[in-house]
Amino acid sequence: MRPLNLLHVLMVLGLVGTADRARAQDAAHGAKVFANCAPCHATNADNGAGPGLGGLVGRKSGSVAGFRYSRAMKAANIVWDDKSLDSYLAAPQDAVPGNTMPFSGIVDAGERRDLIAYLETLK
Amino acid sequence: MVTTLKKRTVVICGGGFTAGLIARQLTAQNLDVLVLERGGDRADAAEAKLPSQRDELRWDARAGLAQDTAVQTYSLRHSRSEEALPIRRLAAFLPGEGIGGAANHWNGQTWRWAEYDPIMRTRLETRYGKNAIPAEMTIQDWGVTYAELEPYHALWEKLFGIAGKAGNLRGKIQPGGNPFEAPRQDEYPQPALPPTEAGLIFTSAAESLGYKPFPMAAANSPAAYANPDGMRLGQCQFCGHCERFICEAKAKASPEVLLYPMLLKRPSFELRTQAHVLGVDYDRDAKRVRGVRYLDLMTGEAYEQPADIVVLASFVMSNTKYLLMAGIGEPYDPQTGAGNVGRNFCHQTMSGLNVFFKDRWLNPFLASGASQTCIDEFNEDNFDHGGLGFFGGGYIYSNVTSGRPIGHRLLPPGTPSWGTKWKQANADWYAHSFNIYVHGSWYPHRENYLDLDPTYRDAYDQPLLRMTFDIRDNELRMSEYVTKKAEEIAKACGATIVSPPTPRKGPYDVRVYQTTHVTGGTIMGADPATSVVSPHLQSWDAENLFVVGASVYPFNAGYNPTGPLGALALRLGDDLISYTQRPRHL
Repeated sequence: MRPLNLLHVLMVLGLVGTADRARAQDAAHGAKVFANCAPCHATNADNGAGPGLGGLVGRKSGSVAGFRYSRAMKAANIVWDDKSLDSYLAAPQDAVPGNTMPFSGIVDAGERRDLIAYLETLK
Repeated sequence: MVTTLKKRTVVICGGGFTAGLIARQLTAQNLDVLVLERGGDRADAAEAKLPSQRDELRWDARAGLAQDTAVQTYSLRHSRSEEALPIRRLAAFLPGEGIGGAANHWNGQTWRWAEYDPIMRTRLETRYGKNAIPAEMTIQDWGVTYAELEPYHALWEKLFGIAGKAGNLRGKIQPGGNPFEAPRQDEYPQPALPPTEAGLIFTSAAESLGYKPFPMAAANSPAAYANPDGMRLGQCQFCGHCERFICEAKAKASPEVLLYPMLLKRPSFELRTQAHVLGVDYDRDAKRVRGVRYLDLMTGEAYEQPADIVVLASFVMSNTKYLLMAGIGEPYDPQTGAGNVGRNFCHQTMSGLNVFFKDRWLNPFLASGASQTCIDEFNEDNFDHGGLGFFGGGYIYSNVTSGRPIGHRLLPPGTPSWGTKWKQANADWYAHSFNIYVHGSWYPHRENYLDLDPTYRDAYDQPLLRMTFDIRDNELRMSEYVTKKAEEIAKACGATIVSPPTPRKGPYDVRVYQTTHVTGGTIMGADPATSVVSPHLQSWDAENLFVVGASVYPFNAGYNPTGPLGALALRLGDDLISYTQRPRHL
């Protein structure tokens, strides 16, 4: 787990930073968390072992052309936003039972929040 | 009709582990490399994806990633007086097919061999006297030292993101690691995998007997990892589908994850799949090879591929067969001891026993291929063999690699083999048992060798490679001794039931999986009179031919072979760079 640093404490207390600055900060750390995803997911539209994640946020689940999704993901009918990504990344099998992403999830809520901030930057 | 193609600088036969490492070194210098692989590319195919990846019947029970015996197999006889018969189903060892070769279905168990392994004969003669080694045990030195290979070990471990705990840093023994480890310059690139519950039980039992247990070094990545080439591994999910499977999480360090996707982007690299090499063209007078002949399995067209340099980087058996068929070097004759090609063929000596715990949950399905806890006290020459009547040994470990439903059935002795009681025993003990195993050495014997079968031929109308092979007294005695040590640990585990130990017995049985670690046939050495390739893996009989793989090991250690293979392949890559600049006997 990532230790809390002073900046984060101050941000939570609303003593420093605007929402935008906080987000930029988070996305930079999120890019590091993304190392967990990078073996299978490209940050552009290219499909690898997993679908390309360019333009992920705001997209409907199971919708990337040319990627062979599991039946579970095809039927999930989720729009990927902060909330749905957070629950999926926390426990992929709980959020979409039977999906075939071989990843057990990210336990730390802060890590997930930063990762989602990073995913939002992928266009 | 045979089409002759344009000459290439380096042609590598076989697109597996060693070919990928050699090509990494060569193409970094922009040197022209062509790899010919008989199989296809499985990296993003169904076998590497859920749910097909979990098909235990297809990939494990039926060895779906291994060589197809309807096309090519081997024949076996136990002695020269018998007639060899073809092996219809591969079981004892599993040669790979397709990009990555056998290294896409490996477990990830990683070792550097002992510091003395490359000078084993010298060591045994020094420690036990000149006459201690029996005449029929044709063990010999590699012609290269561990110190020369050490930097390549370190590089390979970084490339493959090996996870472990150092036991010997620059000569200083480290707590928690293997005290018998060859000295390393640095810690492992990643921290060791967490122990299994079985590993914890094994640890306390081994410690109570005064041994020093440690986590096996693993190619199953404990976390997301980027190697020095920028190639990435995912995090191991401990799903227990490593050996005989391609990792769907890209968490098992393998050539098809870490090497070939990168090589395919390099301009001087070319890969031809479904390209089955039929043979090497040898110019006996010039003592050189001209190139290779291969068959495009998609079209049936035959090609001649001329090359400045040919590297044989296929499985042990195929490397040996190419030399025998081309007449490169003298075939080994067990009667006279003359000739070297086919000599010193070895396997490994596996044995063990099972422990059952009524009140402890061991959950064997939560495992990776190398999440093992080991002791190395009884491996090879880590203990005194004076008066024991054998050489060699093995590491002993808590063997939990998977709890797959078909293959994983540990049942107490006396359980009926079918029916209600069998079912009940499965339910009672599945989650409460594990196996303590010995991963043992196999030293060469004068009568264990490979040659061409005079009777049986493969789908390409070429003779099968014939194994004349049996387990000999040395290995039988070693297995008896070390399995007894494993039993002592088992009895110290506090188990409800300890099954009787099963040391390896003869005759050699191809129906039971041992390891995929067969070795020898094209052995390396400093003396052309007793080896097939030089310490630089260069053929003594064809200057521009190189052979790499476990076929160059003069004997088989009690350790898994992949570590030194990675080091030898990377070193060969660098040697070939030098050779292209100035062709010569290296």
